[in-house]
Amino acid sequence: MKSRALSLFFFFIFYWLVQLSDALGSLSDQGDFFELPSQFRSQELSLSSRSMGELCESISIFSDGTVCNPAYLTDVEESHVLVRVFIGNGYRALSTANQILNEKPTQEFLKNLFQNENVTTLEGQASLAFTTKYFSASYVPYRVQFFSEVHDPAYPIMAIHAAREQSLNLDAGIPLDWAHSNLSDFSLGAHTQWIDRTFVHSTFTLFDVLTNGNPAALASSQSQKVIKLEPSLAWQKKDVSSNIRALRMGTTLRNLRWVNRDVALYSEKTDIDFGVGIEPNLSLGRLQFGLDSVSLMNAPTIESRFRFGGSYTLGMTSVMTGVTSSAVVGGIQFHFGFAQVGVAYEFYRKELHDGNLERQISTEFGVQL
Amino acid sequence: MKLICLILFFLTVLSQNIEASEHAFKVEIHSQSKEESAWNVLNEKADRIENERSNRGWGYVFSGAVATAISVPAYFLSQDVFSKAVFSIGQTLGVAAVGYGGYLISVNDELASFRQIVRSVPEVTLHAREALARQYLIKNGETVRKVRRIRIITHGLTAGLNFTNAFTSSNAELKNSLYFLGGINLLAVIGLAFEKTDEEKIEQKFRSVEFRMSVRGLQLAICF
Repeated sequence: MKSRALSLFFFFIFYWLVQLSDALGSLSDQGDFFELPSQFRSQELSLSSRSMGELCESISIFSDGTVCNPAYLTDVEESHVLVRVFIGNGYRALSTANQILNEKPTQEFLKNLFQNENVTTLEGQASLAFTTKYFSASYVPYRVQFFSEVHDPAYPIMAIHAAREQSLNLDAGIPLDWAHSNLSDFSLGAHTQWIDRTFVHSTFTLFDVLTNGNPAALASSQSQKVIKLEPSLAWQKKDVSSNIRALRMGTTLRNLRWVNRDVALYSEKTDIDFGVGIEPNLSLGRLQFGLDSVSLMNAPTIESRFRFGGSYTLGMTSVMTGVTSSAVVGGIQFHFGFAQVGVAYEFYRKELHDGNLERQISTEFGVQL
Repeated sequence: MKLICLILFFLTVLSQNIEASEHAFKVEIHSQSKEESAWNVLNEKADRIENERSNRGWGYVFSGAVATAISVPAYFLSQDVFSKAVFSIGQTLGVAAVGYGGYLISVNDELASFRQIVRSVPEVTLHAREALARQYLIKNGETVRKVRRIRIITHGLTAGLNFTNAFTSSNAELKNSLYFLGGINLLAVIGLAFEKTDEEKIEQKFRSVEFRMSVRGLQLAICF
């Protein structure tokens, strides 16, 4: 009786916290130009992650052999090194992104942005990842994300968000059966990340470009260094029944971090992610489904908390799909020998809170050793 | 002569097989427990490998055909240059997978071939079959150990080159990438140095069986 009352009490506290965070979120919504586009909030920029709606807690090992929640590293059987390049939305915007981030943009360059399409987006990442049982490490020497949008054709206003990041990730996972025999299905993990970030977040009009004597000041870059620690816990039960190969649950405490300077745009608050996954027993291939609930405490809306995705792998082909509040994605990946390639189609992507729906194609090329 | 017999008897006690020394000259597989029989170990391993190869082979054939069937029309329908590149590579990988799958299905593994050869010769006695299986597992373990040593040296040299290139590089991203790769190769060296494969463990087990048998044989040959 007492435990039921306590459970009800904590449920109401949790429900009240959710409603409060929703209300606070709507108060802070000041429109497009003060908001980070959704692609910039991606934790993992890889084809398998993007194709499955950026699931992390409910999937143990992705089709490319990588692991998102480090507590699932106990499931890894073979070691491998993966070198991969991820490109979102083609190469046309790459030179635009490079000029904004690395060089001083000229007046002519900024004028041309107003003459391009309304929305230009680009994502790109080169990474080296090493995964083995209980441990993984990855180094991302180059990750670039670019988003520009022109509003109001009668009086053009350009919003630019561009970021270049370099990061080092170290993950470890251990089973908990050594602590107690009843904990044999549980495992503990930890994710540490060091990020060095340079970004441009700017809004200007065509009039500003034409009249400003120092056009580079309209798109000046800032930098930030971040160190994160994210502990995680996972539960996994295999061979549950003849129909179910595995059931899993995972949770991660996100964004325990230190920054060298606070930036409102990248104010990632400490939060909790949780996910539930199921793997049906199939005679042919491997099927995985998962439902993640992210940013349980700080997400602006209820629907933005949920991500659903799944993958089916047969031999060298993996087909993946994912749904989030900002995107509907489908992807296909081929992996044979040391080669790995894939493409993801984002049929509907909403970068900003009340922005337009866009379509995006992402591709990934990888070599596995 | 008596002193030699005493020494050999002492060796037999150390090898923990006092009872077997009375029947040493028989050298039948019945003197060993069923789990220790080299032929049974080889048989189980060959069955497991054959099943795995068959399942993987058909998986590759089917998935390779599916990958090719998807990639060919998708290549012509795609307009983005990177998507076209992905589907072009997908076609190549699909065809290669079908070929590799066919190879796995139709061509036997070396161990399965050896078993097939031994079975196909009716003149091979139980004793000879056991001895052949034991020698095969021992030689297989030796080969795997040599391959592991070569991998240790290769990864070690690669790590050295990575660190040297990283130290001399002026580009920060390239420097860090090379240090990272060097670190991974170093981890591989450490892992391989302390890791023993199943084949090596089996080799060790049957080498100790051979040693015990040769000690018993030598003892009885001298004493009787």
